[in-house]
Amino acid sequence: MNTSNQESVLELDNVKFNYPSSKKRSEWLIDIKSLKVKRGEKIFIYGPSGSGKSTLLNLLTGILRPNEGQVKVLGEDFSKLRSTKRDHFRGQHIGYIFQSFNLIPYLSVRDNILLPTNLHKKRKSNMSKLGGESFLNDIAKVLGIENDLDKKAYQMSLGGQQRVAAARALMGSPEIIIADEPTSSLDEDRTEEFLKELIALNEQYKTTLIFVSHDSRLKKHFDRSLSLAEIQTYSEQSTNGDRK
Amino acid sequence: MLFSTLFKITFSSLLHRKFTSFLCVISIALSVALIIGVEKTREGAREGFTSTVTGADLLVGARTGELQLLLYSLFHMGEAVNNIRYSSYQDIANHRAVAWTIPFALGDSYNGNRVVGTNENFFKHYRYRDGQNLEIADGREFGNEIFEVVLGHQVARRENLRTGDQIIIAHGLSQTATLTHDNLPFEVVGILGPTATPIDHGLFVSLHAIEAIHIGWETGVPNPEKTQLAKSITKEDIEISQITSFLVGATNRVMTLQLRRMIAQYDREPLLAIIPALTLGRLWEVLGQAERVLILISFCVLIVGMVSILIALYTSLNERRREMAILRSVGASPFHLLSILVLESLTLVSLGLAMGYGLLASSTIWLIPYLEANYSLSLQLSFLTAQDLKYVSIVILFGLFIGLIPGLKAYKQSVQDGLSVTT
Repeated sequence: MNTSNQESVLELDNVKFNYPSSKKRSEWLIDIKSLKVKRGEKIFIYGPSGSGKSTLLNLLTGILRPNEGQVKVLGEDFSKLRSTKRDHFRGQHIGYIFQSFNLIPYLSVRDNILLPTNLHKKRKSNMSKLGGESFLNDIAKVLGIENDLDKKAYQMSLGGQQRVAAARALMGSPEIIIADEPTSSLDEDRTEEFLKELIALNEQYKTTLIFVSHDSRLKKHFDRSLSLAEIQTYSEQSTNGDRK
Repeated sequence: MLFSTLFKITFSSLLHRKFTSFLCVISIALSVALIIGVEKTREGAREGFTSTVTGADLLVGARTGELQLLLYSLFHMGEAVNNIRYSSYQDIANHRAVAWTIPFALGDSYNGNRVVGTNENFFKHYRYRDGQNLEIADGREFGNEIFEVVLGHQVARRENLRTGDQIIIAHGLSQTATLTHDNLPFEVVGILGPTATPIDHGLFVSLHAIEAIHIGWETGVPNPEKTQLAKSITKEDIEISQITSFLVGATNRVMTLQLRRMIAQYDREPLLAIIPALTLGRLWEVLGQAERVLILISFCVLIVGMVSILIALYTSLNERRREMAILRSVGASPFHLLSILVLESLTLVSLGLAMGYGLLASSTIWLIPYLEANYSLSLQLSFLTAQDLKYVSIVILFGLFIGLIPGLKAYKQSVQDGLSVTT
């Protein structure tokens, strides 16, 4: 526990959560003693389906509020913020990549990528600081979608869609990117390729990456890997636990 | 959250579902055109109706129902029960409170159009709509010759008559009249301009002419020898005995009620005097009921249109769960999703409104001449009147409400789903 608060981007402290409709009230669906993620860290969370993965992600993004404990993102305590504030905060500071169907089908690829910057002034100004449109083009080039920007989203292949989603998550350089099994719809070669590009971009823009997957083979790409089952049952030993 | 982006999302989404959106817009457009169209027709009808005669203070005739007197004297509907003596007319016309009078002698017709016996006062004093007086579009008023007729605009148009033509007038009002004044043809000397009032359907001759064509009809059927006499008769030889009714203009509005009482108590014969504007208003209240039913039906059509929007938006929600989750991941709150759906509904409704208006405006331009010609209905091309704005705001409020239903559903759904929709 030698990391100071300023350095941790994400901090979970005695977080307990269960849905109000749940029958087994005595058992918590999520029960995490402590979890800290440092700025710029690339962390892999192994979570097979049914392990409470989506619930955890909804907690980390401020969609859900824990029943007990604290979820602190960039020093902001989610349990103290109103839901609209949490929504706004998420839009400003977190880029999110879904497992699949990341794009709004009726918007162009470009408009999909620009959604967060068009919705949030802060991310827009971040983007202009980094060169505006040319920033978008740089990222598109790295991801190999520079020629697809004016296509409609539904015209993109699955792999293409995931790349567009990655570009959107990075747009306006949010502090944190959360990826929920973004490679599960891709074959092995494409998965490798996509991960390399994503990690390269993360390093370039010094973003914190939280990557959740049920495919433990992917953990080799990350600074640190945790299993959801582990962090759930007993507290994490230290922030530099399973470091590669 | 920047609302311009929400707008963009709304429009793109509607464009994406072009066909459904188009159908929704069409159904709103049709119902809006129907509602405002019915309303305009209603206004036009009322306007045309109540402005049939303006400026006249009293209408006087034999004692009968007030509505009957109005209907047969001004609307050419029904028949007079009794005539009044010409001497009574003259007596009242000479009263000091009376500024002018227009006599009407009714009872004959031409192909179903009423022949009205009157005098030069008709052209001088008759006022309709906002005080317009009659204009002769072609020719002149009837003059010194007895057998001269001035045609209402539609009579000339439909019967294809021009000045100089000769016509035969039928005795009685039936369209299939067998008794005609065929030995006494009239010459068309003038044609009135269009008024969009029953005047368009009348034929106007002098009181002398009415008297002249009935010489020899004392028994109810023509006596050939006697009717021949009329041919060579001059105005001076004719003594007018009776008329049907007459309009009165008072020297002073204040005198009207006094005059009315005086006429009601007239001791030489039973008379009835009505205030045309009041009776017209009362008559309209009766006729207006039908229009109210039409408005109600139009509103039902509007509701059907609104429900089509509701169905379109509501059924799209399930397939849009993904989209909602994506929007939430980039910082949209459930409230923003609600606003997107309300915006979509409002956009469809507004487009429908605009289209309905365009539809109505263009069809009105086409229909106005037809309606004026065939129904004496004068529609005003006045758009966005206070009345219209009332309907526009009702429709927009409906749209808002209709958008709220799927909007609230989206709100609930997105709170439930968060970022995890597995579809």
